[in-house]
Amino acid sequence: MSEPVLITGGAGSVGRQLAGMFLAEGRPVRIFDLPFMDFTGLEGEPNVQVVKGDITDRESVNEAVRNVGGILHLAALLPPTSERDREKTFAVNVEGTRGIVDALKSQGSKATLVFTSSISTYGDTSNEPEPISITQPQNPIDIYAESKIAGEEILIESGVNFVILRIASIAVPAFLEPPEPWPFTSAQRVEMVHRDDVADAIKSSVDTSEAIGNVFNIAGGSSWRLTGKDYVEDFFNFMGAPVDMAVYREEPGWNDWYDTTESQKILKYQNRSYGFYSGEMKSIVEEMMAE
Amino acid sequence: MPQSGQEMLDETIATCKSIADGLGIQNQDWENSVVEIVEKFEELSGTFFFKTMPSVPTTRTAMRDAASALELKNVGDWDGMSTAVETLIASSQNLIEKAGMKGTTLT
Repeated sequence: MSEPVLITGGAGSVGRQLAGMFLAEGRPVRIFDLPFMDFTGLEGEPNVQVVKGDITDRESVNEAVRNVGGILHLAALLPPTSERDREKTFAVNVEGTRGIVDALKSQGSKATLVFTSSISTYGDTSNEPEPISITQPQNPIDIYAESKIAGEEILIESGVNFVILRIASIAVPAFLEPPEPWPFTSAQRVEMVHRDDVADAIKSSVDTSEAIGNVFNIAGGSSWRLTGKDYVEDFFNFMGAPVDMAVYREEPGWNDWYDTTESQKILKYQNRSYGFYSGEMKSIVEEMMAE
Repeated sequence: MPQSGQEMLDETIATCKSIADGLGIQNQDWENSVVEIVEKFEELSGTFFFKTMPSVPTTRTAMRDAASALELKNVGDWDGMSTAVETLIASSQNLIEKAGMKGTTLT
């Protein structure tokens, strides 16, 4: 593929990680992000094109989409920002997606558009039998999930080549402040996914022709299937913090265990087990303690 | 029971306040620096970082540097004070950076 891969929201941490993965293979990338973002390490680098613009501006989007080999559409308003202004969230997350689709169609492009959706679109599935498959009816409990469902609908009806990834909660191997409350109850089924496995899944989606036209659940796999309490207790133990500080949701949130048989078969992204992640966390903390 | 990161931070804040008190008579820049450290530490006080084990080594270093600076002030060793304040600024800066944790990413 000699055409660049477009990464919307590409100046963010996931975008940079993905850009690095393509560049390591000698493949060009085009980064599209808001003008005020920090493009250090991207702008002026070999094989990197930078388009500064707003996803809600059709002209910018048309320029970004021109002659690309694939699109990783990461640009979105995420919670909690997405929950503050429904109109703005829909403008970015829904109309921004429509703008990309329209640009692809008007340019007659066959590039694959990878859409990062969320398992939060299923809503509370705690009374459903596990694992939750992609045929589970979507029942959003927040604006973000509503916007992602609307984005999915645009793609499915569009006629463009698409891959929809419903991504689980992402576990980042870093010393991070815990959310308060955790977005699940202590007894709830929780299956997160390693940040780097998500990057592998996104990259694989644009590189695998078999993925086109599919909706996939992206989650960590069997080793990541825990209860909320198990996950949180481990997290606090890694951090050496008292676990009684943890605050859980009072009602079940949108986490569950997911059927990822098909996504793993096609995208081959589940490369980091929960045990691997635990080892990373322990090493990070040990390093900090040794200083 | 060993001191927690938060307890060490509280002690460091108290020590820094004692250092800053009247220090401007000798050197206004020193006092300004220590007052700034106190303000930053008070902003960070109570955050999750100081409830974790990894906060302990870095906070302990800042606490010891503050104690050394206070000792010099109390005996009027102004020759040694310049280096002591610089050391305290460096360890405080390290602590402030470490405590500036980012939130967990959840989609």
